[in-house]
Amino acid sequence: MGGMRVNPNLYLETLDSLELTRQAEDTALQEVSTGKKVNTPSDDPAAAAANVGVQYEMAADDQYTQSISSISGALDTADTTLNSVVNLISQGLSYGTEGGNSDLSQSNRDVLAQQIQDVESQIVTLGNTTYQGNYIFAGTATSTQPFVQDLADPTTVTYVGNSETNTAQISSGQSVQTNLPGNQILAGTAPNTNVFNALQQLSQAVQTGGDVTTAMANLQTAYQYVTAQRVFYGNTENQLQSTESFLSSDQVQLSTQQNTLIGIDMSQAVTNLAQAETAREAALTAGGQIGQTSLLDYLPTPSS
Amino acid sequence: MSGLMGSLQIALGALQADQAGLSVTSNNISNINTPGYTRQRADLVENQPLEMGNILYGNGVSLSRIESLRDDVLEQRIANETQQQTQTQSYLAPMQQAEAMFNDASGTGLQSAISAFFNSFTQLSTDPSSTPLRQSALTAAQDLADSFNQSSTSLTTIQDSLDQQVSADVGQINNLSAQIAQLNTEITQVPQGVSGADMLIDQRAYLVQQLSGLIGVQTSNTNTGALNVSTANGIALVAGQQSFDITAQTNPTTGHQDVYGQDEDITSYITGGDLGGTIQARDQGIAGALSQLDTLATAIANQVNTVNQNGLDATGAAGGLFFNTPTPTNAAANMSVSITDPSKIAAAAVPVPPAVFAVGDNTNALALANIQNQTIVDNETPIDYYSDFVSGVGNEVSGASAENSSQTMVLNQLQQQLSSVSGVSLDEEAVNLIQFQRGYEASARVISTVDSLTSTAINLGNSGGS
Repeated sequence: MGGMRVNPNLYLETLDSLELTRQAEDTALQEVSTGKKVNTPSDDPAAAAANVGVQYEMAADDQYTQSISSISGALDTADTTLNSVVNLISQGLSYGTEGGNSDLSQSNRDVLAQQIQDVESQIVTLGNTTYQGNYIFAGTATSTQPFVQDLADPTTVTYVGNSETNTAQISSGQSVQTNLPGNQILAGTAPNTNVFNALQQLSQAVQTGGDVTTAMANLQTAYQYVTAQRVFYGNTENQLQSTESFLSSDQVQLSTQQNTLIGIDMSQAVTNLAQAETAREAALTAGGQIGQTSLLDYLPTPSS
Repeated sequence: MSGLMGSLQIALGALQADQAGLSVTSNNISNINTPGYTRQRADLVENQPLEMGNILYGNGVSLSRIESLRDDVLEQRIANETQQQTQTQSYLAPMQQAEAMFNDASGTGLQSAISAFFNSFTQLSTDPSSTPLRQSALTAAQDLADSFNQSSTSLTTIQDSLDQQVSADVGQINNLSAQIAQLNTEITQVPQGVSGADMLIDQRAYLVQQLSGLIGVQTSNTNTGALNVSTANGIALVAGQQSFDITAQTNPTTGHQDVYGQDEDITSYITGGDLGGTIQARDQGIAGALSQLDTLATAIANQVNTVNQNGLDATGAAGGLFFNTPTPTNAAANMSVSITDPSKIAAAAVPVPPAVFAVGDNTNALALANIQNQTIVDNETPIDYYSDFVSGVGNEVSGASAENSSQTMVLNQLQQQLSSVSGVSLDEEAVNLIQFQRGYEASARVISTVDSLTSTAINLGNSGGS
């Protein structure tokens, strides 16, 4: 008898190759149907872990984008409000110019002085602007109406907010200041930075025929000061916009990264699937062929 | 003994030998699908020749024995490989269930809950006085606690079913040990040289294979034909005709089943087989994952508590516990939010005098959000710790899976090798069938020829008659 005895039970080997081709086909099918090459952490533990980090950063970027949209509402409102304040002050300045005319009658002076006081009252109202229920010029005392007019003497305005500022995180490495306290903008302590005092002074000078020129110069200074404060809001809004576009390009980059980590090359995956299917069919065909016959089939049946 | 009568005896011996051959062939064919069956062969030998004068006369054939064509070395290798292969198999299955729970790419796992939790503080910082935002932060915290609870509970459920498997395996091992001891008794009772023992040895070898699927064992043959079986660390399961039970006993601390052999806790020494893999998964793989989740949950809860206690809530009162203090064990399973009133989230910092509390202060909300960037757990940030955890679980599975594939391949090859030695081939049996049939027919012809010759011889004397 020549040669080695071969395994008579070919089913064992066939089962193995069927199992292997079935696994290959399963994997290929899963990759095609999910579009991912990492379908469980064990497919590529390092990629799965890196993907956790990428998804985490994507979620953080989503949050920063949302934060930007939340704070820019208040910033926009503040900016628009200050624009109105600046317009009102220049209106006050034109009343003052008119009031500086020495030919005016007392009743004309009274009217102009009242108009200047009205401007002051309107600025108080603007200083008490709220955004979503929060006073935006109250520092961090957002539930407190920051500017209070003395009932007995409406020209006297007191600031009752605080001098605190908040910051917000707008990207993983970037924070911005989100507010200026109202006293800093409208009721500064430096000379001629208190809009209300300047208006009050002008109103009195006009009414009494006092030193309108000095009062006008002071209000002018206050005007420039408020305008300068407004720059903060403009700058912050610009910063928010540029960060927002950074975040959206970062999102794109992260999702590219994610695709590299766990995504598949679809054409490659489809090819793999086709190959796996062919291999499985071949194994099945081979399996179907084996063991159908043995020598017994060729022996004559014993004659009785 | 020569002469015609001698020839008759020789032919009779041949008939018997061929019958034995046919019987062995028939037995082989009928056992073609019997698991563990080793094909047999009728070993025929020439009888001692007769010496008459200077001449040696052949004296026919007889059956020497029926031999089982086994390969002990191969069987031993299969038993060893089976022990390793079933261990990784039994380790792999529960770990695969576990990794499916931390598949963040497919939406399971803790990353989204961790992100949402910290992001809710970032969002709160944009408007710390907002009750809806405070409520969202509370809900995100609740979700985070739920995620930890669920992950931990699911892992514990896997662990509990592994624990039940330990008891089941112990029962099966004892059952097999007892059967092997019983076969040892029967085998040692079969007189030496009688072939009946082969079938018993087949059965015993098959039981040892089954036992190897359950636990790593060492075997040794004794000179009486008995097989001694012990665990890999030397605890006897079968010694001669006696078997020794191992037992599963509840550990009062863990509540899990410990395995005892000969009054000794052998749980951590058990390797190989389903029991080895099951214990490995229960006490290392799953237990390790659970303890990492506990570590992470504890670190997050403690740090959030510390920061919340450093701040002031929406009413200006000092912040309290955010999460209930983590329990020393099962912290992930028991993680729960302490706060029920959203105003209790301490979004504001304690003001430095002369400043006073202001509801719009977001300093502490930012500090709460910033915990995510702090290395609060094993010198890592929470998300880095979690992603290491994911890769750890993934590596366990991919390692065990690769090991298992190669073991399975080796095992299959060994089994094919064994089958090529011991497996029944129908072709071969068909040839044997013809061979013995023809032999029998020829011997029968010899008998009838001798008979005819004998009759001729008998009739020599009465040739004149009739």
